[in-house]
Amino acid sequence: MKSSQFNVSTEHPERREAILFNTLYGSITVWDESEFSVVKQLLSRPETEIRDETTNLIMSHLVEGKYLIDDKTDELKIIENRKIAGMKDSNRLDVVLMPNMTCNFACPYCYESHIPSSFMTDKTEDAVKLWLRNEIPKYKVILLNWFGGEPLLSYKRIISIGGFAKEMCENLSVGFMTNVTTNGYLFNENRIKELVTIGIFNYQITVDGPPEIHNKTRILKSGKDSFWKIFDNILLLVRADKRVKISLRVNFNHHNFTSIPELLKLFPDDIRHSLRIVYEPIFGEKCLSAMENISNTEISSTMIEYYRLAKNMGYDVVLGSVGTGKLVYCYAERENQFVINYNGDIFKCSVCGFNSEKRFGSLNSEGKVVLNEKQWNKWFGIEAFEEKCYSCKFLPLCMGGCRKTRLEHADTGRICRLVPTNTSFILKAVAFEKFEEILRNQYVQNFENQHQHAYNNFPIELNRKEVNQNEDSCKT
Amino acid sequence: MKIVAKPKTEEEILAVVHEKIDSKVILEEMVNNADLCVNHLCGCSQ
Repeated sequence: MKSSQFNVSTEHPERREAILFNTLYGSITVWDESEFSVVKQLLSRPETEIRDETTNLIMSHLVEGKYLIDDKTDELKIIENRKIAGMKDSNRLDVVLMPNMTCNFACPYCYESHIPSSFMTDKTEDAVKLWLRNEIPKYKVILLNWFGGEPLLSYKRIISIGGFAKEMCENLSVGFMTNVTTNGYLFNENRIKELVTIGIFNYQITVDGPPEIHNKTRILKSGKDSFWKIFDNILLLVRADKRVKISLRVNFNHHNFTSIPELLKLFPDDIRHSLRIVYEPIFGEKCLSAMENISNTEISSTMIEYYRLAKNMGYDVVLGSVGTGKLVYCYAERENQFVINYNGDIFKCSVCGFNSEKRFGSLNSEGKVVLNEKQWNKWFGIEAFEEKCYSCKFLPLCMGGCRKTRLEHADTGRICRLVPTNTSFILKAVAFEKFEEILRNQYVQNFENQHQHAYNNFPIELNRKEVNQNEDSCKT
Repeated sequence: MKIVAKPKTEEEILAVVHEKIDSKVILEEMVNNADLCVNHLCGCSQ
């Protein structure tokens, strides 16, 4: 026997317990202090001769929980196989459609370069439909995400292409899931009714704080405020259909971080369960970046505190469990995933400049994908994981990090993308060194669910510090 | 000792990519498992 490479443990002296978690298999066991000393001994020396019943019992459980595994088990091969299975997954087609590359907002932190009049033409719409007609029958599930620019500036394209895809999926009994990432300004009652009719129940809308804060960053190009219009639209949306779910995204930095509780108070009780809260640190320019201006400890502690607050106030908070089973780092690693720009250019990652020279291919007028093989092969040509990943205990939760970063920073060695922006909550917790805290919380939640017993005294260390009000040349 | 979660088998983990799986199961898995976030443009990069 040998110890699994992916055992992670955290001790909790006040409860005189320790939690053992295996990131590869997802097993979690809680031990009391005396048991855990035996556990540690057995994990470090699995061939120890067992002389008593308790040790024998612990040994059996370590084997059952796959904390101890057969010498022949190649755990790294298991992870590689998962990744290959995820990348080659032929059950689902992931499509991000960008019907324009322009916006009615002028948010200072936006990473996109907007181009006026960059709208999808009828010709490109026809090509997209032809492509979908050929592709949809090949899959079990189609995920269609509308992105931009601001997708609702191309409302008719959404209805036309989205309606077409929905009908085709229904006729072929193919699962269909679709959503829109929008600033939330361009809704009205008729539009909402029509969007719901074509099966769009999931929306992501950004609100950066209460009105006086939000209106500093989520500004219309005309310079006008946007908060109350978006607020009213959110109410209209969730009250239009019970199936509507909104991911209420708050992009934060040192300017708006502490205003989040005030924002949470504004939405009426009866709709909060339809609003899924997502906090994301702003990245990019130094003067706007959350990480450049707030300490990691402050970000992580406050995020946990604010997620808890949102949950207590009746909002939908789903952070992801520490359970395992992830196959790829992100959608862009899937072979059957395409970001299609308004002009038919094809990309893999949705966080880029969408420069035609760097496209991965394009849709021709016959609805066929013409690949830029050089780009495509470069994207998929790298190893499944970087060398340093193979010794990381969190690899099964991460699955290798951002492929774009790995390609762009291969020569600098800055390839580990365990950074706290645009990663799952669990990976943020790892990056912020809060994983053990999350693990302790998960245990308490699971245990409460199983035993209907409240463990309210499980301490969470909220090391609140003053927000670093690093005032500089930023205007926001 | 308290068992909070049992280990998953590879069969369970790879079920979503299995050729015989039903589309409804894939969709349910996506909705129920936040780590396989449905609205992956939320920034969680799933």
